[in-house]
Amino acid sequence: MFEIYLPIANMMVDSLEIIILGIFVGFLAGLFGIGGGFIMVPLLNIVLGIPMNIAIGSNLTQVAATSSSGAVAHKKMGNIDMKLASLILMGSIVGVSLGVILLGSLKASPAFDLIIKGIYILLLTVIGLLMLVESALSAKRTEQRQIIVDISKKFQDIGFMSIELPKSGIRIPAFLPIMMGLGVGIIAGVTGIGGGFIMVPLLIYIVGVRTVIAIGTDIFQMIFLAAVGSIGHALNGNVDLYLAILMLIGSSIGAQFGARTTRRVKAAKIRLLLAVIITMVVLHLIMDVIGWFK
Amino acid sequence: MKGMNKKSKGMRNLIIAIFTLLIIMSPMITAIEPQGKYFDITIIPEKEVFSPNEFMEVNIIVRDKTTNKPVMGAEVTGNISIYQGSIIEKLKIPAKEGRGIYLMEQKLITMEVGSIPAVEREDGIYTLKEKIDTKARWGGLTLRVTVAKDGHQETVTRGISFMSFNVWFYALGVTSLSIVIGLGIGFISGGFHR
Repeated sequence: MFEIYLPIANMMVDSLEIIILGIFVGFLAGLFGIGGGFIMVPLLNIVLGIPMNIAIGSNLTQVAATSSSGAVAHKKMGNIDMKLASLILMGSIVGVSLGVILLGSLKASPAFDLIIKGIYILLLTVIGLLMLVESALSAKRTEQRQIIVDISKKFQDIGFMSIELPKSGIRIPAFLPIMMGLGVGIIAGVTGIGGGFIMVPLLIYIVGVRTVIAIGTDIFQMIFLAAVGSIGHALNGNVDLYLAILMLIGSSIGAQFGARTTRRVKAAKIRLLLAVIITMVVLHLIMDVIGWFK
Repeated sequence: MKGMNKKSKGMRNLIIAIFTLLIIMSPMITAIEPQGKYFDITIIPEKEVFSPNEFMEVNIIVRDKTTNKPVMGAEVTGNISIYQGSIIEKLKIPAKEGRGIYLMEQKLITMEVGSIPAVEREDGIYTLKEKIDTKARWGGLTLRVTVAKDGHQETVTRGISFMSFNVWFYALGVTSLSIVIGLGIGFISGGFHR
């Protein structure tokens, strides 16, 4: 009924289906406080049959919008450590560019879909495990705080290239956020996700910044990471403007409902629900990979 | 049910909502495409983004799936589905009876160009050349390459983009637009990553 032609993907889709998918993922994003790209990209491919490279590129374009929106709120609340964000960006901009080049070379491979789905299975498994660790730690708040202090202290004690972060009130080796940015940037470029679920725990546990500063700083640097990634993917013919806009409309609506629902649902049950959704997506991807080998 | 507190009810409703959505969406889920058994076919376009009405050159590398050796002497053909834009074409069709002419309007979306032969350039490397015949200023085409040899036949597809304007203009425009929309949402609603 609401059919629209996606010119870059060269296919007809129902725009309502994309918006519903966007609402669904946006809702989960708002509910769990995540970006949602790691669910959106595989679902675009599984549910709507959008080619993986287009789903990846267009999602990164959408991440540029959602992170810009989020950064406004975090800037108002004073949650952004600009110096730390600049250091992360030195790595993440290089990383995302490398990721885009890597995806471009993988695109030619006959096993492109298999490789990307394999990466997503690995990625979603890591996310699941991180959630499990985080759940176990958050149950013991005092121990969690101690673990953060112990781990981050070890890294802060490295004297090499030490730099002061007045906003966060810590001193860290400058190469640490640069390397973290590089790694997350490569993952973002290849998979089309913002990488917040990796960067935020790294900033908390390794760098030792407060959770709100970690989230705010990550979202701010994500604008530039996603913008560079989006430009790179668009140059490689991986970004469909219509798809990105429809996803953005849906996720903007869904995120508002998701954020409101958080207050009505217990945190432990929210995590369980996300685990169920991730497991379902992983199972479908595994079926796809098995199907490839048949 | 009476003893259910507000949070449990919220959780129950949420689970019902998500599973209902998944059930609604399940007919849309695409089937797993059968993959090639005999050949590894790699499609490498000369450029990532072409211009409309430009000659597109694509190299197709064909290797044996089991031995990984180049497959020589195969029959390699391409089918292209090219986006034409949502334009209305007026057609005049002579009436079968009488002297009248039917005036028809049709919405042109895609054009299929079939059986374009690829030429073997080197061992296992085939080159396909075809003009991107389109009225659209920007869009995509789907190239479907079929390789046939010794009674075995396999097909792979690859999407290729084209645009009449500079690709840098598109890349910067799309990204800037996205950021502007995001900032707009952020300033209006206070951002949704709170």
